Amino acid sequence: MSLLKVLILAIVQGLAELLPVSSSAHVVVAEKLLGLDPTTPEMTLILVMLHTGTMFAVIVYFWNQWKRSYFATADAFKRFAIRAIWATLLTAIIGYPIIELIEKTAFKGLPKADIEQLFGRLDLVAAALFAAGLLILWAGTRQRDAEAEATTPTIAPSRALATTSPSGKLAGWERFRAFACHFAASRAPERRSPPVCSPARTASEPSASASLWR
Amino acid sequence: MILTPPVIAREVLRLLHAAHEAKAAGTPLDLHASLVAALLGMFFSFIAGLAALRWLSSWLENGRWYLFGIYCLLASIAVFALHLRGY
Repeated sequence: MSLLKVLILAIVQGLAELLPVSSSAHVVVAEKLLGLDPTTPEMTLILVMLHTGTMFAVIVYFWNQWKRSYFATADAFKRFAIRAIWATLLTAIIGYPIIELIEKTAFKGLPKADIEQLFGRLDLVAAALFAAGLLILWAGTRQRDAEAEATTPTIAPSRALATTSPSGKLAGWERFRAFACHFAASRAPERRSPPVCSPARTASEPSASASLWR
Repeated sequence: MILTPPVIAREVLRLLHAAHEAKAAGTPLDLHASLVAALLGMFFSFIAGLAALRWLSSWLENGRWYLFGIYCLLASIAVFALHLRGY
């Protein structure tokens, strides 16, 4: 694969990762348009490494804030570590059976089938994008309703770890708390910080998003 | 972050396995080139991600998120059209 193609995929990943759209879907479509096969081991490794690159970018960008949030005290770090472990376990508990189910049903009869082979199915990518779009629109409607009621949202920490941005908005969060937790839960659990995801913040406290998006 | 190393390990093993099979079939994979491309991809996406964070953060703060929902719906139609065209 040429350097130019790697660069194009990296730019697509870098941009899509930060928006509430599926970066994997965008990279897979870009690979297809570039004449590459997203199901091959070479390309799935590149896809994972692209995500790793943007994960490091987010860590570097938010490092100072997270240092204050996660490593300020032993207690803060312990809270964070427990939640990160819970998030990882829950992801594995939910994700692994789904992978097994897909491999044993969708690929039934095939001698060797990996979940990565789904990356070549643009019809499935389209369906997933459509579902994500509906979820975001629904979440936006709920958010407007919540803002109209002018209530202070509360949410359990365990839910904070398990959410992504649309679901965070469905839960009644303000935009950037949900977005920060989307980053934290779906990319790097360390990114979730008590000031951002804490259920206890009240209207009188300064918004975490103000410092988050500097 | 916690799941990233195992996922990378899984994909590297998958690549090594594919390289072994390809070699046995007489059509060897360029393993070195694949690994270099993956590392370069990580480096470039790191740079792109940092640049995008600085560029998009203020825009996202004032953005209307429902637009992303509409975008996803339109993108799904475009992707499905690509599927119908044989991609």
